[in-house]
Amino acid sequence: MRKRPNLYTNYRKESAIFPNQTQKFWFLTLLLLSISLCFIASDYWILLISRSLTFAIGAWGINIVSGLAGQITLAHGSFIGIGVYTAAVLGGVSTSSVLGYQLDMLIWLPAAGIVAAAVSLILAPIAVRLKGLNLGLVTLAFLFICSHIFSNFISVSGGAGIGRKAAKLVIFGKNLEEGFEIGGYLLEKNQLLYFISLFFCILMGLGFKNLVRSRAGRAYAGIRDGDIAAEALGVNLFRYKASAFALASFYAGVGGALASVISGGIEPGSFNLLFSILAVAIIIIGGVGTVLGPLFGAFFYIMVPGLIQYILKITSLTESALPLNLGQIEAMVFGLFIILFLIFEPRGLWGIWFRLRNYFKAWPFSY
Amino acid sequence: MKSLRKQGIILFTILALVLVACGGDAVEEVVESTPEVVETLDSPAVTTASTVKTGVGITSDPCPEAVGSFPTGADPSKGCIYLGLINDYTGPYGALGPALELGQRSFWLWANKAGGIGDYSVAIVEGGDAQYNPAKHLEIYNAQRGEVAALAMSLGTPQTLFILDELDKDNMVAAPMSWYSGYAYKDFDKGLIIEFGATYCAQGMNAMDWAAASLPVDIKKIGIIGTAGDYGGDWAKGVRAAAEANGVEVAWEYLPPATEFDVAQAVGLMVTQPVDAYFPALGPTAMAQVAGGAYQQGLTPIAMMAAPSFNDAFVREGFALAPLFTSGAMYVAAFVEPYEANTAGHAAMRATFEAIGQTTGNLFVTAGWASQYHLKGVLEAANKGGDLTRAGIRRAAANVDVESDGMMVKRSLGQNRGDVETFIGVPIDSDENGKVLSGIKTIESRYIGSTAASRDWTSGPCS
Repeated sequence: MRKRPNLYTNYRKESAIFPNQTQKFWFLTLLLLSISLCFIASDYWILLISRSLTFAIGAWGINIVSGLAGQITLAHGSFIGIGVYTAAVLGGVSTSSVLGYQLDMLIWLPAAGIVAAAVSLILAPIAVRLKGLNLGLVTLAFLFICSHIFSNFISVSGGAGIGRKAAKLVIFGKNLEEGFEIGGYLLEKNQLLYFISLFFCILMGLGFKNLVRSRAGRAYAGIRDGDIAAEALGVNLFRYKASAFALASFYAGVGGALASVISGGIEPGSFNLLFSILAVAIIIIGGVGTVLGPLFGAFFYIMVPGLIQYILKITSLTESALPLNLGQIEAMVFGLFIILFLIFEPRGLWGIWFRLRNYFKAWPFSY
Repeated sequence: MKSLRKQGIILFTILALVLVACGGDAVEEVVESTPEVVETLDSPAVTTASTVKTGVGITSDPCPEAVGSFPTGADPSKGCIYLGLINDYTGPYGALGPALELGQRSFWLWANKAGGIGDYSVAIVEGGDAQYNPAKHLEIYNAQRGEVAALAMSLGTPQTLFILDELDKDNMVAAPMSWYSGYAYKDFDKGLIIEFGATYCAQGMNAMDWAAASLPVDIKKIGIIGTAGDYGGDWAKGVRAAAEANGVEVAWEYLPPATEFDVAQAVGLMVTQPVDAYFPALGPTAMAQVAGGAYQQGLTPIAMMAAPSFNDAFVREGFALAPLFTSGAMYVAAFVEPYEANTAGHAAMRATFEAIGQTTGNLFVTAGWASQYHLKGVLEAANKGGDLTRAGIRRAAANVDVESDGMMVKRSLGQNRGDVETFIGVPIDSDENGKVLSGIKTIESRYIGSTAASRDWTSGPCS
């Protein structure tokens, strides 16, 4: 059996989180690499990677509801916002205009996910009765309602155009805003945030992988591929659609809360329609319905500006010498990639990775 | 398998409880520390020292010859003071950002050629695009804070106030690119914002006073347009105070949250509740939409624009609304006279622009140039005092006389008093000398109306 690592003799083994030694090996190697990267990379890259990791958590969320369960949602940005503001109120500092209770991250982080999930359950009775464009419209309406609330609920959000500071980094009662000293070595706040993001990214990623292979995951796939057939097979549509929304919102809340702490502040105008569409775009580019796709998509989205800047630098081109500014170039590159992926590789970056992996797996007989 | 999972859960719970218990309460911690030396910001700033203490953002290596494609004019035999730049290249003020930056980089090119700051030249680092978003603003600040001694620009009022705690922690002074009335008061800006020019509130008062006193039209009813929490709030307070003083009715105020600003609603107000004049404090895009929308409805009330609402492109040939903006119904209130003005500072700016082949001269390049004078004064004072660390620069900013080659009135920083002298002009494309680069003709260089004159400006900000 040791010579046939890819021969699965039962379903349990085939659907294991790490079905073979190779995957375990690469997971551990990447984990070690990720940890060591924090001590090698500059602050700029640490920040970008941390943001990618938190965006991946949010992207896994929309991948549950849209990729796995096949439900269209344009309200993902709102659930991210709900998580962000829950965290900011519970973990942030109170000022003359905004509320803040300076609670521990052990409270505000799960609360961010739970409150977002709870709000999505309020939407669930309507959402589960609809599908396709109608569902899209309901979620769009929800997005506008949330956007209005975020803009005007000043004691929570600070108000449109003004914003508020994010939750403080306090864990187990220890204030980590100035870093954490371990044996004479000071781990700076951005390094701590990197490790926290990495930890939760792995945790939530494994959670997603586990979900895919579970009863719920199979039910979601059944609903996506044919909800009437799924119902005929005994899948409770209401329960599973509602749970998909709730789980997706939990991921959104947690990812958003972590991302906001990395940014340091949040402005309510950020949670607009474009932001929700961006979440959809990330999973389209990464690979809809796949485990690694959202991770790839999130890294792609966050790294594009850095890469464009790097290309400008090595080509000695300056922004002022170009007819477009960096923001416009980023938007165009991102839009172009969405079009290209939809036409040429609907499975996204994961699809490319899948083909590459299979090519080298079968090498030298890759034909 | 199940029992293994159960054991795992129990183990995890115990571990979590132990960790929480070990975490303890911050109050219980016994911290042994020596008393911290507190540097008072009110201590005399300007002394003469033979050696200069330096800190973050200052190098003994020379400044780069150019940042991007723009020359710094730095002296290769001198060290370098790096300044940060939080700008907008996209968003509602994205059209103005490059012009502001051009003015600032040109200023330091000129200042470096003229000798710089003691043994140092000055270079502004590559700007970051904050998109007029406070959260992005903070991100860019965090990216720049480790490499700069001060900020050459922090664009926007709410954005600048958003990063004030971080500036405070870092002792980072900043030249703002907004004129919030709180910048003049230590309780509001912690002595970190190097204000320059009349506040929005004073500009609003003067715009209203001037309109009531000088326009041939009898102004009885006015409207105010802006966005809540943005610079329009301060402007609106000034306009309202002057309206009250002049017995003018404020028929409506349209100040929704920035995300909900609706041009149709603003135009609707003008149509359903016509006014003699309106006082917009917007970005140029929204301004053109509102003015154009009203124009389409056949309405051309007097518009007294706050400077950020105006763009010289409004008066240029080919712009559909140019006839409206040059009709004599639109006016601009600003903190400084436009590009063509006759002061030593304006002349230096024009000479520098000509030397580098720049052909723009709008209000924003002038604002960019003028914004650096007081910062330069602060850096010079810190250098003279022998302390170019951030704390030293901050201390210098707390009490120093600054001037601007006549562009603005001379003032002392840290005196808890806002400036009031307001420029008032009318948009034009050209005059007898040809094209007017600023797109504005001067009506009043330094106007002070009765409302602003009678207010006690040491009493605090308007909003």
